[in-house]
Amino acid sequence: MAAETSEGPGSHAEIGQVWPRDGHIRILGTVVSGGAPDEAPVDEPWTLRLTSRERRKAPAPSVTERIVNRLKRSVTRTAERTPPRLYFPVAADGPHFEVVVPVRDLAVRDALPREHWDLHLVSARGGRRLALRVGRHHDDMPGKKKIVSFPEQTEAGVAVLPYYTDGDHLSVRCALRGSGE
Amino acid sequence: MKLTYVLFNAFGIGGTVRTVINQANGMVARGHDVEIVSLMRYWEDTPFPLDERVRIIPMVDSSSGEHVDWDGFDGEEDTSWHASFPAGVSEKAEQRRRLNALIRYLPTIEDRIVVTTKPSIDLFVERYTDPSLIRIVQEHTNFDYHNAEWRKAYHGVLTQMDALVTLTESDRVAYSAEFPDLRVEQIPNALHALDVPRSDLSRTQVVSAGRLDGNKGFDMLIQAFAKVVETHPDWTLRIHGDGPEEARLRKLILAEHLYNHVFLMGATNSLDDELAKGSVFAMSSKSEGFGMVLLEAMNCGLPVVSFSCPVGPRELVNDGVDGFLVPERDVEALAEGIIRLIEDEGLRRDFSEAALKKAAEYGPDPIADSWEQLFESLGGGAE
Repeated sequence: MAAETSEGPGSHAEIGQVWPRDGHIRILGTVVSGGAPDEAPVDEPWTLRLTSRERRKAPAPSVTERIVNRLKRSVTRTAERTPPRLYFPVAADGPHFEVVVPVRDLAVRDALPREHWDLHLVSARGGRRLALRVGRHHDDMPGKKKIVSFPEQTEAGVAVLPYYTDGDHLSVRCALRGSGE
Repeated sequence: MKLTYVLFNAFGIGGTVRTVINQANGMVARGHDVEIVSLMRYWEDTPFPLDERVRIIPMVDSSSGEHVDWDGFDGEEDTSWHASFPAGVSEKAEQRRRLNALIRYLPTIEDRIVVTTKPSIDLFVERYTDPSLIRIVQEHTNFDYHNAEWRKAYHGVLTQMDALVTLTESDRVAYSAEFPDLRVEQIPNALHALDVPRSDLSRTQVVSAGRLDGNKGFDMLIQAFAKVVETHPDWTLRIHGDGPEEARLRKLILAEHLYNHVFLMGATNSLDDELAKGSVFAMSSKSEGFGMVLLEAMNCGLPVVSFSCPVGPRELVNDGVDGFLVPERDVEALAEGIIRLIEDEGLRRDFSEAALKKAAEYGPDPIADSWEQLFESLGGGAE
């Protein structure tokens, strides 16, 4: 696989609006480079990638676990582990993008007690992989973690909440809620 | 002249602190000897820049983590004064400690003009300072604000003072009527400087600021802004300040799905910079002592929309010239005022120009002149 680049420090997916409602998280924004909309064409359509911090860190399954999982999978699909990366299609119009993440897609069967997903727009340009962090930096309002709160949506016992990180990037926190909560 | 300002908390963020610090800076710059007595101290520095020539004397200093009285007092608590003051002031132990420290400090003041800035403090200044000193009450709240118990306690005290200074003309009239034998003057708050960042009126941003409490009516401003974004979804509202209503206001923002449009920014130490980022200033207070932040916004060249509170904004804003005054608690009218300014950039520019002229009248110099004249007329210049 080709090396991934963030296209220099000035490139990212700048958020315009985030709408967590009606069972979806809808994100609208603009791909920017050096502070301006990035009009340069990409090799393939942008895709939104959610990367789990916790699943990435999870140790590889032991030999026994692998055998048990394989046996389970031979019987039913339900034992399939959620991969550490999830992908969602992005609608783009020039540098502008819109992506919708259904909350139910994050309310996974093997939900962890707490899980954090980091968001990137991924594509390629001239054969080089691109992964642009999704965040909001051009609104002259640093420190959004303390300023902006989004609504939490719960699906199948998993509470899903987009939030700004310390660095004004967008991430999604999923938390398993006990029954009755 | 030698001046002592007695302040509740020079280390908090609020209108009274800001204006007293402005005054202290202004007077020390004119060569007067200035000290600020603060009942408490939690930090090393005041949140608003204070000229280093102004001495701060905290009654109880907690900035080191330990509570230390100004005189290092460590004896038995004096409770003898409790019965002769409104019960509220001696309710809490920490409050009693501060007031006991103040009671020990006030009699040590000699040959100075004392300016007191809060009703509860006025009572102690009257009782415990040398009555031959020039003693002036600087009233930051409206006349109607005080309840019956306080008015009673206040009545006898005020008549012993040399002058009472109100921020607004309507308060001057009200206090004069209530205290015919007391000298009552009006001196508005001064801006800390006229040389501040100016808005270029280009950003799609409405700004407001104030303590997040019920009185500031930010719930009404948020509801008004919900109407604004229906027709102007590219505009946002930033509210600077913190306070007890924050959680409730955040819930309202979520419930109204305004999280892309309304931002509770928290407290700021650089209010002028933040104000200058806006193109319209909105004020939704139910009441204001003066409306200092409105004036500060005008000083940054912002056109304003404000509820016409009983006093304050209606004396600062010239409706239709430098801003819009809309009926109190009328959310619809507040939204309409904001929308009119959003939709008419020419109007924004006209209001902005008029606002800057208005602000200049409240610059540090004309206001410091007024104070010096008052002090001198009371005999403060004779040394």
